[in-house]
Amino acid sequence: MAAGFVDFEITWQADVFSGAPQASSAAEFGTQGINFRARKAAHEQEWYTAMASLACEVPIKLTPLLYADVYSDAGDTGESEP
Amino acid sequence: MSDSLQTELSLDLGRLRQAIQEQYAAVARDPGRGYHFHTGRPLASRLGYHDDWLEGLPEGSIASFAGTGNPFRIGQLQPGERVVDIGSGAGLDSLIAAKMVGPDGQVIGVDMTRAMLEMARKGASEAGLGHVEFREGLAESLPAPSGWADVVISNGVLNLLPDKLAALREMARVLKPSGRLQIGDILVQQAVPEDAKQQIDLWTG
Repeated sequence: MAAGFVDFEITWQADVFSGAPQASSAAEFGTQGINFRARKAAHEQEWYTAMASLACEVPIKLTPLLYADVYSDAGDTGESEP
Repeated sequence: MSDSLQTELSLDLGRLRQAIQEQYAAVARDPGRGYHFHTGRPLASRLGYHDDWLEGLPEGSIASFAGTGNPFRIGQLQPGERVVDIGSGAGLDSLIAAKMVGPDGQVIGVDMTRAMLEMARKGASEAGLGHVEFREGLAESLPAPSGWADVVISNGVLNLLPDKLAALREMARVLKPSGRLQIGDILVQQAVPEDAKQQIDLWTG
């Protein structure tokens, strides 16, 4: 992304080293062959938009638990004691 | 980029490049010797290269093939397109690209190893593909004009470059707007320890 690309996608991955004539460090690190594609952004605006979409926003959403009547099964009518 | 990487790696870039050149020059000279990776026609088949892509190409170019993926499986190239092949090696992917784009297209293969460039040029000549040329150069400073290419391909090369961002920026530079990147490479699924990254033999093996 930082180089100016958008639409990055790994399209294929597989073990391409097993059975090779000589041992290598490939298995030790779980090395796999991959194909990937990307596209150079058509213009700066497209790239900025793609970069912005990577920004990590954590949506604040109240869970149903906070709205639920957590006392409903407690045998408490909600009325105060005399 | 300086000869000694200014990143978190204290790798000797000159030594790394020399080790890579020696490794792949050996593959070009003696592809059947047996390496820590597969080579040649069996590898091409394993990676999903179609037989008709290889038809008419010199056996020497096919035998020295040592990719890790298949840039053409992502999408075939179209007649008339311009292609840059980064780390073209013995030239097989450049020759396939030249067949796909036809005489109205152009292919530039770039490699840093003279022995590989000579082999690739010989292969192009034998295959009668006059619209592919091989240029000496580095992925981090490509010998191709800005905004020239429709497609950049590469196969098993990006992982050998310590400064991947510099290489990707060069790929973006030579591509036209909306140009495509179609890359075969590797990924590691487990973190490589910092001390292992300093070992040059691990970069090539």
